[in-house]
Amino acid sequence: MHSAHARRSLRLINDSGAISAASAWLRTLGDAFDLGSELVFRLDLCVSELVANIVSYAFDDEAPHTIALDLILEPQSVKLVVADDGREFDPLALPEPVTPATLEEASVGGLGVHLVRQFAEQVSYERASGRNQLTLAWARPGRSSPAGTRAPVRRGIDRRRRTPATFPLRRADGSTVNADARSGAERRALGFISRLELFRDVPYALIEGLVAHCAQRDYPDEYLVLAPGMQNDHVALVLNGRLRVYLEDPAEAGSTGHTVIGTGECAGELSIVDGEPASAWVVAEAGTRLLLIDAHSFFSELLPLPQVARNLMRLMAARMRQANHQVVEQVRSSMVLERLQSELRTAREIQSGMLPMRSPMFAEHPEIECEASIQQAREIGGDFFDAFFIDEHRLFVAIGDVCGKGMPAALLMMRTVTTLRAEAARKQGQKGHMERVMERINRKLALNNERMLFASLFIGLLDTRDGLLRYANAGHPRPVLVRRSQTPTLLKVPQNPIAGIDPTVDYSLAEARLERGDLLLLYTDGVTEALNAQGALFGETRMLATLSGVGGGAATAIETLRDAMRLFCGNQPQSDDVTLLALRFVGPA
Amino acid sequence: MKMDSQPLDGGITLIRLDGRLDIEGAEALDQPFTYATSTHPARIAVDLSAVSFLASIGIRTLLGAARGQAARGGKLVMFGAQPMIQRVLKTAGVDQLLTLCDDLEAARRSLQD
Repeated sequence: MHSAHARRSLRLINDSGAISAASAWLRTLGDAFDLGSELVFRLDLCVSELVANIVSYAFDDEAPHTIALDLILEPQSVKLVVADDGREFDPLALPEPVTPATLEEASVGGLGVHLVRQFAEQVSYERASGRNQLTLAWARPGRSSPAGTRAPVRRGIDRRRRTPATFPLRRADGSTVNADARSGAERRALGFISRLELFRDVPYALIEGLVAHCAQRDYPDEYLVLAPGMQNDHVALVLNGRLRVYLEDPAEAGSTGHTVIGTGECAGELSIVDGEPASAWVVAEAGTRLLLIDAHSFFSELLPLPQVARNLMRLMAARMRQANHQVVEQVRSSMVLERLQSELRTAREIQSGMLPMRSPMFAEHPEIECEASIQQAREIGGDFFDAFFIDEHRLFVAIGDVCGKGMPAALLMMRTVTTLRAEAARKQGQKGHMERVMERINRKLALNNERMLFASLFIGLLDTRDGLLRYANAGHPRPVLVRRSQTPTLLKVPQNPIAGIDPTVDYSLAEARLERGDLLLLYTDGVTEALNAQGALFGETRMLATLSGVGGGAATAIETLRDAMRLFCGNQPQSDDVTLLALRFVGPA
Repeated sequence: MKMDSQPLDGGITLIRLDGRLDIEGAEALDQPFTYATSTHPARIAVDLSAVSFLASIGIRTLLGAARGQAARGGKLVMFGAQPMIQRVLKTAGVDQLLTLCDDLEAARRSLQD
C-alpha cells in the first residue's frame, strides 16, 4: 500500500504503556504504508523518546492527560506530530549534550531529545493554547524506486523558530515584503490560527510562512467591511474583536437580527470560492483586527493542503445543512402561522355568532326598534353588544369593549358576554338587580386577571311599557340620546371605573325616561376614535352633528352614522372594531 | 527481548540479545543482563546482531553493563550491531565509551588484548 495522502491519529493517556503503544502503532503504519525499515526505525525511535519524555516530565498532576499523535503522509513527505498539554517544553531549546569522556561519567540524561533531533530530518516546535506541538518531518521514500534516485534529503534540524525569515519575502502575487512589521505579541497571537476551523489539523509550520506575509488590518468601530455587491477577494480571519453579519441593510430602521463572526473565526471563504460578490453586510465592531489572506495565496498555497481542502468542504457542508435547516424551519413556521390564522378566523366566527345579529332584532316587540351593527377590524378585537328581553316587557341592553386585541381579548369578551347573560337573567326585577350584574361582572374580570385585561361596559334595562331606562356604566363612552326635534346629547352616566381593575367597586345606577320616538344610540370608541388619512379623529362632535335631525328609525340612524364615518375615513383602514346599537322607543300601541 | 549466554573457550562469555531494546526490552533485561554482566569480573562479548531497535533507555542498559564490568576489572565488548543500532550508539556519543566490534572474531581479539 502506498497511499499518496493519508493521515492517521492516535490518542494516548500519559501512562507508561503509552510508549510501547505509540511505538507499535507507528510500526504497524510503517508496514502498512510501506515506509521502509529505516524510516520506520527513525519514527519508532523518535516517538518512543518523545512519549517517554512526556510521560515522565510533562505533567505535574496525577490527572490523566492526552498525548496526541498524528502521522501525516504526503507524496513527498512523512510528518509525525506529537502534541501534549503539559508544561511548556521546547526540545529545540535544549543544548546539545556533551559527550561524556569516560564510561564513569556517562549519563543518559537529555539523550532522548538529542536522538530525536538527529533522527528526524526536520523538527519544529510550536507552543499554542497551552499545548506543546512538535512536528517531525522526513522525506518520504519513493515506492520501489531504485536506490540512489530518491530526492536528496536535507539532514539535520531545521530550527524554524530560531531562524529569522530572510527578507525580502516574496508573496504569492509577486509582490515583496521587506520587513516583518509584526511585534512579538502579534506573532504569538497567530498561534491560534491552527485552531481555526479552516486550519483544523494543519500543522502550524505549514501555514506559518503564508500567514507571516498576509496583511493585518485594524478596523474602526462600525466600519462597513463588506456590503452586497462588493467584490470580495480576501479570506478574513478575525484576530481580535468581532464582525456582525446582516442580511438586510443595518442602516435601515427595523433591520432584523444579525449573526456574529467572533475571534478565531473566518469570513469570506465562500465568496472567494464562487467568485460572487458579497451578499451580506459585514460590519466591524470596535477593536476588530483581521488577517487578510488574498485569494491568490488562498488558492495556490492553502487549498493544496489536503487538510485545508477538507476543512473547507466541511465548512461548506455545514453551511449547506444550516441553510436547509432554515428553509425547513421557515416552511414549518409558515404552516404554523397559517393554522393560527385559520384558528383566529374560526374564533372570530364563534365570537360573532355569540352576538344577536338579527334585523330587526325584536319583530315581536313593535313597541321598540332595535338595530345593531358591528364592523370588526382586521385583527380580532374585543367589542361586544347584547340585547334581550328578560321578561315580557323589559329589554336588557349592553355594549362593551374589552381592551386589547387578539385572542386574549376575544376570549375575555366571550366570557364577559356569557357572564352578562347569566347575571342579567338571575333574580331579575329584584331590588339592586342591575347593580349586581355590574358588580359581578366587574369582580369576575378583576379576579384572576393576570393579563390585566379590562372592559368598558354600559348596561341598561328599558321598560318598554313606560320608557324608563335604568342603566349603569363602567368607563364606557356615553351613549347618545336623540330626543325628537332636539339636538342630540350625550346621556348623563354615573362616573364608575372600567370593569376588571378593582373587584370592590360599587356601581351606581342612573335613570332616564325615553319618550315616544326618542332614540338611544350605544357605540364603542371605534366610532369616535376612527381616523382619517390626516390623522384626525371622527370625534363626539362630528358624531352628534351627524345624528342631529335623523328622522328615521334605528336602522336609519346606524346607516347614517356609518355613511358619515365612511366619508370621513376614506380609504384609511379601520383600526378598531366599530359597534353600534340603536334603540328607538316607539311605545306601547 | 530474549537473552542467552554461553561460555566460549578462552574464558569468554557470549551473551546473545534478541529483540527490541525499548522500554519493555530494557525492563525485561534488567535483572538477568545486569546479573550476568555486573556481579563478577569476566570477559563478555555481547552479540547485538539480533537487536532490532534501540532507544535511549536501552543505551542506559548497555552502558550500565559496560560500566559495571569495568568497575570490577573485567571487560565487556559488543559486536554485530545492525547499521541503525550503530547509528543510534554513534549519535548518542557512546560508541567511544563502549567497545563496538564488527563480529565475534573482532570481539574475541578485543577481549584478549
